[in-house]
Amino acid sequence: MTTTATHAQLVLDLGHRPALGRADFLVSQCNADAVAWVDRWPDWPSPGLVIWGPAASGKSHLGQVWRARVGAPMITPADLDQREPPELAGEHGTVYFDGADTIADNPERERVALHLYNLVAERDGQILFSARTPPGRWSIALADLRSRLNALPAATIAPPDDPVLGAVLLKLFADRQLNVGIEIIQFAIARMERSFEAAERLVAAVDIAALASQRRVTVPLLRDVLEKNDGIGPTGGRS
Amino acid sequence: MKLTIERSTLLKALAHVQSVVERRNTIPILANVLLDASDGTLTLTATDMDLAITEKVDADVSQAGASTAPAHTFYDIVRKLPDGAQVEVETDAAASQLLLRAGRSRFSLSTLPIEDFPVLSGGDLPVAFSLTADELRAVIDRTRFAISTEETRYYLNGIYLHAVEADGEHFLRAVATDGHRLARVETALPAGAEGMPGVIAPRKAIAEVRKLIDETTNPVEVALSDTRMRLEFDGIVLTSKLIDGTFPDYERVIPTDNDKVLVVDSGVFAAAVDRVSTISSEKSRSIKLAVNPGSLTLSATSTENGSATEELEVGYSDSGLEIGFNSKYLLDITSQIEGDEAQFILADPASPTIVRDTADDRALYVLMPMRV
Repeated sequence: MTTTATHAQLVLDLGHRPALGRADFLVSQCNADAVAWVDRWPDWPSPGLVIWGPAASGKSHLGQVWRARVGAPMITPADLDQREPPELAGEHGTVYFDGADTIADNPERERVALHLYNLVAERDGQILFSARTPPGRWSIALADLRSRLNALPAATIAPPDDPVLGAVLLKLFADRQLNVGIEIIQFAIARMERSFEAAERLVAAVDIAALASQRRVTVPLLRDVLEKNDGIGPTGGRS
Repeated sequence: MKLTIERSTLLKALAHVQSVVERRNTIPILANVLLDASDGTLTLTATDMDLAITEKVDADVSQAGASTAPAHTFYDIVRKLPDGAQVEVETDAAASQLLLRAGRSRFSLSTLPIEDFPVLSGGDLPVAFSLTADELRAVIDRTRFAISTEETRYYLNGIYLHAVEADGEHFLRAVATDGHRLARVETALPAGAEGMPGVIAPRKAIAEVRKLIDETTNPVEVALSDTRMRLEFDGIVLTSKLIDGTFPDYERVIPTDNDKVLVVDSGVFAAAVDRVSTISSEKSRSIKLAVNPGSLTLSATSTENGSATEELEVGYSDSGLEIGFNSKYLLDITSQIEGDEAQFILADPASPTIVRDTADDRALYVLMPMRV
């Protein structure tokens, strides 16, 4: 339910369904390492793998791809408050743990996470952790858990380069059933903050602005959005 | 092909089918109507490749055959012929011209080969049901105003039809939205529509159907798959492709915890909105509603035009609230209210408002406010 300064009409938050299949995941230099690790499953050298990278870089998407392939349940840190390890570990002892870096500073969550790790290891299963930072920076207080997580292989998703940013923008527009021309993508990547998160915010803001004004997505509309939304990033800097 | 047909019969059928033909066509054959005469029947077909209308009418066919002729020109000629005229339609020996004769008038129209005329096949349409013309008219009238006209929002360029179950009852539900307002109407689920796919019927097909069913009292036979629909009644068959897109999860924008209820006399309210909005700028059309216990003050201001206010007596007993709306949207919705009263269920000036017809619980409207 957002508006832009020029359009006082508020819009219905109709939502969208992101495509999260394997074919929808864009493999590029910035995430090739993480994809290779995920594809290598079950041939992992330890009971787990960590994928870390910036917000909106596709960690959860990659996690969902893996989860669908191996039949693993997805858990988040909040699940550790409510369910015990045998229930969390799923049928096959494989688990996708989304946003794992936020368990730090919560002794009870750390305790349950350690039990979960040990249970999965006993059952020869695996946990795929996704996080914004590598395990060494999670500030885990529980020494046993900290040492286990630090010993896991960790694959990075790097910030996007131009081709990847362009492909991500196209994918995000397509998720919202918006067909945009190449001039939109070129204009955006030359002027926006170079991050996956900014791409997500930009496409959401453009979608809302176009819906509010009942206009198609054009370069003037995109320029308007870039200039009026400080959160998306610097404008006009690299044209 | 050679036949004679009563002018009014031909005119009515041509009016129906030529409406599909676009004024500009990059594919020449799409500007033509297909005429097929045999066994005392003339069949007329026009298509734009997404939508086709076929109509059968009685004619005195002396020589069976088929041809195509420019639809708009053919229609204009027949329209200008005198009422009661008998029209003779004939192809020449080379089938390159269509000859029309009525009284002392003679016309010769260029034809295109019938082999070039595209056939929009219905394909396999596994779901079939019947709706009364009244039901179909109500479903279309109460939703079509909310269809998006922004072409790139192709998934909102139609009415979403689907089967739903609520409280043990089954309904056929129609939904349209342009992102600013949403209209939802339902009718009892007809036999045969159980398990129908959710489909988006395109705006142009909806407009044509609405025109065609304006006069009929007969049931409309509907058949559909997830890519095509076919409607059949009174010798007319309309076949249309469906929109290949995903309709949004509209339920998420229908608020469930709005608690401020405003009841207005819909006619009085609409007239006041119409008067006050005269002042609103053409661009924004915004109007402010200040609701207080027992009263509603409508106001509009514009730097170019000045200002306007009007106060109404209303049913409202909650805390005061000021909220802005596009006046056109208010008028669109109130024009669909059949009962005397419209009920606005509000939350706050930035959240969706529900509008209902107090005399008809089958229709529900959701309206997003404007910042004013």
